[in-house]
Amino acid sequence: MELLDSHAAMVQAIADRILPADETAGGGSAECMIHIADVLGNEQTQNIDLLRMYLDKLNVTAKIRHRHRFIDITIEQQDALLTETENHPAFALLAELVHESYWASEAGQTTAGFEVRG
Amino acid sequence: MNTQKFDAVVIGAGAGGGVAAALLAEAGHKVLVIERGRAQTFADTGRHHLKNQRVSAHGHNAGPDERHPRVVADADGKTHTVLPWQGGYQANAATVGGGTRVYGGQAWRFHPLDFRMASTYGVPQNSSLADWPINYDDLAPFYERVEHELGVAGDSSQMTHLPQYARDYPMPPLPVTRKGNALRNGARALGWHTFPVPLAVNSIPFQNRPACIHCQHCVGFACPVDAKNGTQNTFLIRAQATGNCELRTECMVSRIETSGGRATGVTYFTAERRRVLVEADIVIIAAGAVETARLLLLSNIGNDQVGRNLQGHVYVAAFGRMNEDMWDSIGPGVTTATTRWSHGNDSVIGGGMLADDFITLPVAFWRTARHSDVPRWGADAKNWMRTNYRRTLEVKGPIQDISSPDARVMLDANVRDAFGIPVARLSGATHPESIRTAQALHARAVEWLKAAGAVEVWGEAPKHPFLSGGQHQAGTARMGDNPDTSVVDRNGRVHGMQNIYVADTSVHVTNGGFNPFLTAMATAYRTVQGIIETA
Repeated sequence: MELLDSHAAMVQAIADRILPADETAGGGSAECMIHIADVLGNEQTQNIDLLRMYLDKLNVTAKIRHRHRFIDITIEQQDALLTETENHPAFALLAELVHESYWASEAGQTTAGFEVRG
Repeated sequence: MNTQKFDAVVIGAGAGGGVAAALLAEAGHKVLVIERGRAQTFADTGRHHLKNQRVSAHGHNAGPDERHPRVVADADGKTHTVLPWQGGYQANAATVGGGTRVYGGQAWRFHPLDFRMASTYGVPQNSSLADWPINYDDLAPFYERVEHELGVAGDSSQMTHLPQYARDYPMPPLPVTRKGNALRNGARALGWHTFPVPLAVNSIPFQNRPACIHCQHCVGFACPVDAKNGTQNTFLIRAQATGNCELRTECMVSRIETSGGRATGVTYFTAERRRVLVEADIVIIAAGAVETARLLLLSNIGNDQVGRNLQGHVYVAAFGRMNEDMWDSIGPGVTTATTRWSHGNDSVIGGGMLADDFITLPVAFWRTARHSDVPRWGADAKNWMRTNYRRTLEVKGPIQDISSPDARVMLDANVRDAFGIPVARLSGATHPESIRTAQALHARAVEWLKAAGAVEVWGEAPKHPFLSGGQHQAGTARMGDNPDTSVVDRNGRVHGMQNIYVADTSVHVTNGGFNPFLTAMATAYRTVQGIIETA
């Protein structure tokens, strides 16, 4: 089961707020998004509806408050909305997936300072 | 159905099974080793940080696969069917070499008092704590043989908690890391003795294989240069070199056939689910503490003790942030231990060894090493990893689990595996005294980190009993002289059966405050040596 493109774009935007890009890539990097899509599509299918509802609600709130879709509002506005919803189980699921994919990725390893020799 | 005849069938190609196969084949016996997993190359096991035997978030890399579910019963009796990499399964590995294919290789001898827990401390209420029927001195010659035939690096002169070794380890210790040196300095300040962790890893070229290259992916992975010593590159190679040993992989044993107190053979399924019967004069079970118990139950062999006393290790872990970068890239990473608190702790039963840890992958660090105050998301979460990952010391250690008869392997009445065989049902928990001991040892871990110079220390001690098993699973066919309270006798033979033996951690009466594989191998060595001498 796959997410709609609009939902996938929101997941990527949220991933970049969970772990923002700085001198290293953020949580919304292509490598992380492949892993997240794989897990959502194959292992977390029972939570897809929960995630879709969460994303839709987030988008509606963004449009009401800021007249734009979630992905088009400022990062400060995104962070404010995510802070309000950070105890939602769908956010917890996304945060877990973003962290595991990121810290297992090359970008995450670089950020942490994990150096592979041999 | 095909029928074939062997002198001995060994079930499981892991730590104990590998030793058994080598000794029997070298003694001239025609041996069949049956393994449900497959032989895996370094490439097969890979380096996926989320699918390995240490971090199994979405699978693992050394089996078992999805054909082998188990059922876990929670404290309320509610049951859950779990896959091998999911919580509660108590996975070890299912591959040629078993857990030794991907383990870290901490090659500890148990403390002499680990064999005498009941007589040293008494038996707490509702516990099945007991002494082993054999002691350290009985096993010492076999520890020595395994250390030299498997290949262990260490310094026996510093193992002052043990009687003097007859022979030093065959290889010197691996190099100490920056983290290890910090902990050694801290221990010195406390007056605690430390020493190099003995490892089944080549510190120098050994047995025609190279020395460790100090990579960062040791525990949970196969070695890229074959410098880590498991049964797949030692005992099993020896067994097959004799021409007397056949190894059949991806075969699932469903039953030990018996008649009149004797095993007559073994029935197994091939990967294609073809049923095969082999006849055997001797059957040696070395399938790991969960699967060994399951097979005994499936075969109606043994008494009411089969499957009870499942134990692994309750671990303690504490973390300490230093003011400077402690990373030096030198794997495996575990270099420094103390046994100061293995025994003799006030008001608790036993204790455990404490040591630094293998290099921790970043994703494992995020999942297990962060404290509750770390932001869950945002720039601060990322910066916490950036600031702490390389600066954090870790001290970990296993306590001697206090056995509980209710921590148990049974057969599930409803769920079957892909071969139609009832799966293991796991229930119960370690004895509450295990948690008290863990809390006492955790306080020592914190003390050590502070003495080493940590400016911030965190990590919580275990609070509640849980079912302990996992990669250190043991105890489900324990050894004893009394058939009413044990499953096998002091020679590893199942009580009441003439030719069925257990040669894995299942026979451990207690599991020591150490990683248990060397004791499993030494005990298997002793058992099989006895079989050969009396054959």
